[in-house]
Amino acid sequence: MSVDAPLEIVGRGHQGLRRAADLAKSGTPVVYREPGLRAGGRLITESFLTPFRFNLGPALVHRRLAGAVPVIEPDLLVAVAAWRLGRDARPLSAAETVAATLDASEVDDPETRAVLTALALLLGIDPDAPWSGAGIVQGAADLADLVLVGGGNGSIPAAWIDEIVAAGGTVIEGLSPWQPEPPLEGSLGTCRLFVGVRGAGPSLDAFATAYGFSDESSLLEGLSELRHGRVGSPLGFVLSNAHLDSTPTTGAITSFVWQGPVPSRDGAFSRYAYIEDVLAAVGVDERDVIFRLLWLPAETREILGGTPSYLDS
Amino acid sequence: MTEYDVLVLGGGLSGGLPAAAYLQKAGARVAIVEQGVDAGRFYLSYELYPGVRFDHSPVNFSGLSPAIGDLDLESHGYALAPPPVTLAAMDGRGNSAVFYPDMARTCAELARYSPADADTFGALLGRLFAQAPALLKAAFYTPHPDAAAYSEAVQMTAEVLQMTEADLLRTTGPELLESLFESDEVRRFVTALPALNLFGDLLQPGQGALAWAWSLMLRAAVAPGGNQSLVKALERSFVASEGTLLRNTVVHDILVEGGRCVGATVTPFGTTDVVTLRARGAVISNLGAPLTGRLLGSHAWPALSGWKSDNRVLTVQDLVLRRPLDLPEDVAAAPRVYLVWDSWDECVNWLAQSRTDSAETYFGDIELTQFHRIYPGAPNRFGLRVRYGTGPYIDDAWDARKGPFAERMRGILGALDPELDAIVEYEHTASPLDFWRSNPAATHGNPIGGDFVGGQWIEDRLPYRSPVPQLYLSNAVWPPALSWLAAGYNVACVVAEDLGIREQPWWHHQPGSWFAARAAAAESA
Repeated sequence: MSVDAPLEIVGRGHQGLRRAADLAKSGTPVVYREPGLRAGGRLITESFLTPFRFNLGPALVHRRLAGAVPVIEPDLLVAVAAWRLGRDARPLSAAETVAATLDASEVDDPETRAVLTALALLLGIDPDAPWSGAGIVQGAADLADLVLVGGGNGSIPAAWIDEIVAAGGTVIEGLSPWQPEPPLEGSLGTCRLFVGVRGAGPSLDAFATAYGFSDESSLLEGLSELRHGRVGSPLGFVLSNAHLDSTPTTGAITSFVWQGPVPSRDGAFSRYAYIEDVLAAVGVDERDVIFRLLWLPAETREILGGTPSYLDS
Repeated sequence: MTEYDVLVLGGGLSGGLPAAAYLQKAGARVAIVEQGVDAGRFYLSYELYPGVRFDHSPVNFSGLSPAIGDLDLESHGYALAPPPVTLAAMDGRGNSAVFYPDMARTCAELARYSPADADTFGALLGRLFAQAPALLKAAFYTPHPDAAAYSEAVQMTAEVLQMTEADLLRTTGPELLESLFESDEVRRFVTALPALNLFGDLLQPGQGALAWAWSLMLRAAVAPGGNQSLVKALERSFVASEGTLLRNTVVHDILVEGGRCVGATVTPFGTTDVVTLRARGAVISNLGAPLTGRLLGSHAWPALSGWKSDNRVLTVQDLVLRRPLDLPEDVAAAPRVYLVWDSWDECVNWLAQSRTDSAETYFGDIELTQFHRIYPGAPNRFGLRVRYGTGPYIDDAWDARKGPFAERMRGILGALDPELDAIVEYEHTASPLDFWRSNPAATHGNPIGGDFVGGQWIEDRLPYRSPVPQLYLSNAVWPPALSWLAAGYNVACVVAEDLGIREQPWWHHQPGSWFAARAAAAESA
């Protein structure tokens, strides 16, 4: 009897892991090796020695990624100033940039334009990038399918790993020497600030609430300032973590993730001043902060890899 | 409703997770109810900065566990290696000693202070390691309270220490050290580890001497995949045996019907569904005594509601540095460095003080973990863990206390390295309150999981078999939680015996067999 050697898959990201699970379930002997600390790429959920859970990558995921993992379907996705975006969006016709796409699609209502532009930023799409038009078309089309994962996005790769192992495969993590990602190109990148606080945290009615701009033009002006290396007041989103913190044992604490663009020229950027500005902007008293960790764009990229978008399926 | 043979409430590394893996492999149908995404929450690894790896619990004693062989953890991705350097201890007067896996090198270090003490230490460890498998079995890998096994452990320890059992049971830790060693430095350096956070009160007669001697058996190793790879290997061993791991699931109630424990009600995270899980043979609670009592109802086992672990706690500071801390060259090579008392009298006074709520206690015995010595990673950033304790601070004032403690620690580290402020890229302090918030089983207990034992010695711990038929404990039992999986092993033995599935061809490895196999391989090479 001959025994086939297992198929070796070296992953960095969730796609390879998903593929390995599919192969294992179809009967292929699989060994999945994750060079990073943990398999799952941008779907990892982390606690950092704190009582909180943070999704390291995107907050919203497409339901096709979740599979059988239980999900939560938020009604209100994005809030900008007084404007709200739910799960319905009209079809858009792609042009080069987000603004051009909105023009081509005859979206004239300023509120809708602002909130769709904000959505692009939330999904990791630079609204001025030449490919951003296609990105927001896809994002708008997917709105009805964007969901939260109750225990954290990490539940998804955990389920995939269980599938591989149950099918007789092997998953090995964390044994490869650390390798840096290629440097980030371009002038903007997405930072992530993980914050755990005593009490209720920022008051939110939508899942993601925008700070630092109130309409499409102020958002684009803010991005322009960032491109010139001027940070000013922080521009970005508070992502509610209420669906991750609601255990009966943690008491009156909560956490959130700040996601926002900053200049990728990190040397000109004051990490601690930025954190102070964000906390002030969202109305959190620093004395209530239990945990804070800011990853600048290059660091976010080093740890998560790939492009900062939910669309990289 | 879903039915299993065994329901394990809480997939902690020391108790619930290995227990489930053993019982599933032995043929029971087992489900783990785990609140987290991952089991083993207090043994996971994480990166605060790209390529800078930290562990929730930085010490790995798993090489002592029979589970590595029994559960074939290496086939599930678990790799373990002996470290070139074990630890170092240094005081504020420039004295230091480095401890190596190679006993001759360690003795050479101690001989700088006293050749006689070095000889005594080497001979003692020689006798101890010769007894280690049997002593580990009697002291730890037995479901205590077990009077016969305890008596056997005392007898073996007395032989190792070359004293009578009666004398041993009258001896405190300091009295033992003063009888063994003449050098002030040697006494302090060999007390650094057991004084901080291990399993006994060194000032108690008998308990103190035994706790010190047994701490010498705790041989550390390094898991190159991060300490979390032990959690992952156990999870995968369990799942590969067709076990059911219910992640993100919270326990509501432990069900008792007709006087027997029959299951639990649970809710998947993020939902309001209440699901009943029934257990035909056993429910193992890894939730700690207070929470188990609350979920069970006070009528079922009144002792649980009054059970209280002793009051030792730890504070942890994680720092990302732009270069390693400036330590003496030989000490700098150690993965763990203890900053200890300047005299033996100070050490003994500190041990007494650690029973009080004096803040000074916290700064007497400080453990530094140089993660870059364990996990070489990013070339330009270095992870440093600072742990310190103990003191019975059982209160809610830790949020206010955390800042001043962190400042004080920065001052202590700054005395070692005047450029400290300039090299700190990032710092985070986790207080005992933060750990308590994280882990319902650790409420007012030890942050590394489970209830801690300071003044509660073997026979005072809770039994593995509870007075409620079919309810078992893997937490608040002896021994306390550490990464050697003893509590989970013991409860698995007890449950397997009761279910009639204990005899398995693979379930035969002895404590310490991983180290023994490596020593045999090295000798034959």
